[in-house]
Amino acid sequence: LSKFFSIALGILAAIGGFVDIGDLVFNTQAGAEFGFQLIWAVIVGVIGIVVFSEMCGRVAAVTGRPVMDVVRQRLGFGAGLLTLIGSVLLSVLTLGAEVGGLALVLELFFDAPYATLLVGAVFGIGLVSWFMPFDWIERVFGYAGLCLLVYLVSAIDLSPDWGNVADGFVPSVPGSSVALYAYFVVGLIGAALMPYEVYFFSSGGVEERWTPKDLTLNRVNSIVGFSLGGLLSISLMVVAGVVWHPLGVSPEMIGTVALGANVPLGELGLIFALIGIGFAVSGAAIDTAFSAAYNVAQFFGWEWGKYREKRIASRFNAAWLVSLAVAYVIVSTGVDPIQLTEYSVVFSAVILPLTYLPVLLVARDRTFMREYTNGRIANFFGWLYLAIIVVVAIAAVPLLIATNGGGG
Amino acid sequence: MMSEGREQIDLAYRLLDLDLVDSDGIRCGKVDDLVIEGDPGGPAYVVAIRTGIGALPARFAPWLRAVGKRVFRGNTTDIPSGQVEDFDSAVHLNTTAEQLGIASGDRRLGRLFEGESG
Repeated sequence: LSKFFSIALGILAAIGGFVDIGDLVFNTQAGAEFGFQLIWAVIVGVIGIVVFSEMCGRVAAVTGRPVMDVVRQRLGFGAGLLTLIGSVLLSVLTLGAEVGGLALVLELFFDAPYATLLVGAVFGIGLVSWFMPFDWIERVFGYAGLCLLVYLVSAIDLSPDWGNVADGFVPSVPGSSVALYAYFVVGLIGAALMPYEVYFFSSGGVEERWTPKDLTLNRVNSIVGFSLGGLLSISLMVVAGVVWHPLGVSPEMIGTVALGANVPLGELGLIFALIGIGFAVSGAAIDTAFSAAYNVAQFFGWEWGKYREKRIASRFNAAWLVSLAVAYVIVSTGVDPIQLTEYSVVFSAVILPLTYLPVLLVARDRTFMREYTNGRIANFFGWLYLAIIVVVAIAAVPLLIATNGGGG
Repeated sequence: MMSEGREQIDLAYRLLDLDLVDSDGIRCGKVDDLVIEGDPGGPAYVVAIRTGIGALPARFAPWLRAVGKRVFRGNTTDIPSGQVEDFDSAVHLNTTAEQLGIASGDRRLGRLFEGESG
C-alpha cells in the first residue's frame, strides 16, 4: 500500500510540476489566437517529453549517469561544449523569465513596486533552494502547483463546444496566418520539451540513487504524471479559446492568464489560478537554477548534488547561486518576462536535437544499457521524435523572425 | 596520443569523459585524455589517465585548438593506472583527490560553505 501511495504522490508532484511559464504563455496565447486548433501540437509535445523523460530516467537508473554526462561522452567534447553553453544560457534566460513571472504574480497580491517584488522573488527562490531538502522542493511545489487544476475545472465549467475541442486533436491547415500557426506549433512543442526539464529529471534520478528496480516507478511517473500534466496545458488552451479567442484578446500579462479562471469560477478561481501559477513558476525557477548548475558540474566532473554537503559540492552550489544572480540582472533590466519566455522557449527548441540525440544513442546502446536497452517501440518513438525536433529546431528562429516574435 | 587500433578506440569509447571518483567517493574530475604507450605493431597500454582543463584543447578540432588553449588554460594531472581501483559508469580511484592534487577548486571554495549541510 505504501508503494501505491508513493507512486500516487510521485504522479501528483509530476502533474503539478509539469507546467512552467513557457506552457502558461504559449498555451494561453495559442488558445487566444487559434481557439482549440492547436491542441494536437500540445499532444505531440507531451508524447515527446514522455518518450524522452522515460529514456532519461532509464539511462539514469541503469548507468547512474545524468543527461549532460551522456551528452559529453556521446557527442564528443566540442559538440558537448556547444550544448553545455546553449543549455546553460537558456536555463538562465528561463530562470529570469520564471522569477520575473513570480514577481508579476506577487504584484497582484501586494501593493509594492515590481523591482522590490523581484528582489523578494529572487531571495525567496534562493532561500528555498538553499535550505529546503530536494524531496521537499519536489513535493511542496508539485502539490501546490496542482492548484492549476482550476483550469481543468474552468474548461469543463465553460462548456465549450466539445466537437470543436475534439477537432483540435487533429492537425488542420489554417485558413490564414500560416506562419503564426507554425510559430505556435514550434512554441507549444518546444515548451513541452524544454531541455532543462530532462537535465533536472535525470540528475534527480541519480541524486535519489535510482536503480533498475525503480524503472516501473520512473515509467509510471513519466507516462501518467506528464500525460495528466499535459491535460493541464490543454485546459489552459481551452479556457483561452473560450474566454479570449472570441474577444480577439492576446494575453500579454500573467494576470490575463489568471483571469481566464476568474470568468467561470469567480474570485476563488482567480485566487487558485494565481497560487497555482506562483508555485508552478517558483518550482520551475528552482529546477532551472539547479539544471544550469547540474550541467556545468557534470560536464567538468565537479562534485554535484543537492544531497551532498555544500562544502563538498561547493562549485555546484556556487553555480546555481551565480545563475540566480545573473537571471536577476537580466530581468531587472526591465525586459518583459513574457517576452523573455518566448525567446527562451524558441531558442531552447534550437538545441533540442543536441540534448535528445545522445540520450537516444545511449538508451539504444546495449553496451551501456544491457537488458534495459530500448525496445522497438521506444526506438520507433525516439527516432520519430528526433526527426520532429530537428524540424522544430530548424524552423524555430526563422518563424520567430517571420512572425515578429509571435506578434503576427 | 592514441593509436588507430580497434581495441584502443573501444577503450577510449568506454573511458574517455567518465567521471573520476576518489577513494572518499567524491567526484573529482573527468577522464579528459588517455596516456597510451606501446611499440608500433605491438600491444598498446593505457599507462595513465589525464585530467584537468589544460587537457581539453587537444580534444578540439585542429582549427579551434589555438582558441581552446586560450580559454582552457590550466594544469593537467596524469593519474597512473595503478591508482585506478575499478571502472564502471565512473573511474574509481584508490586515493583521494587531495593526495592527487586534483579538484582543488571544490576544496578552496568549500571553505566558504564550511558547516552548511546539503
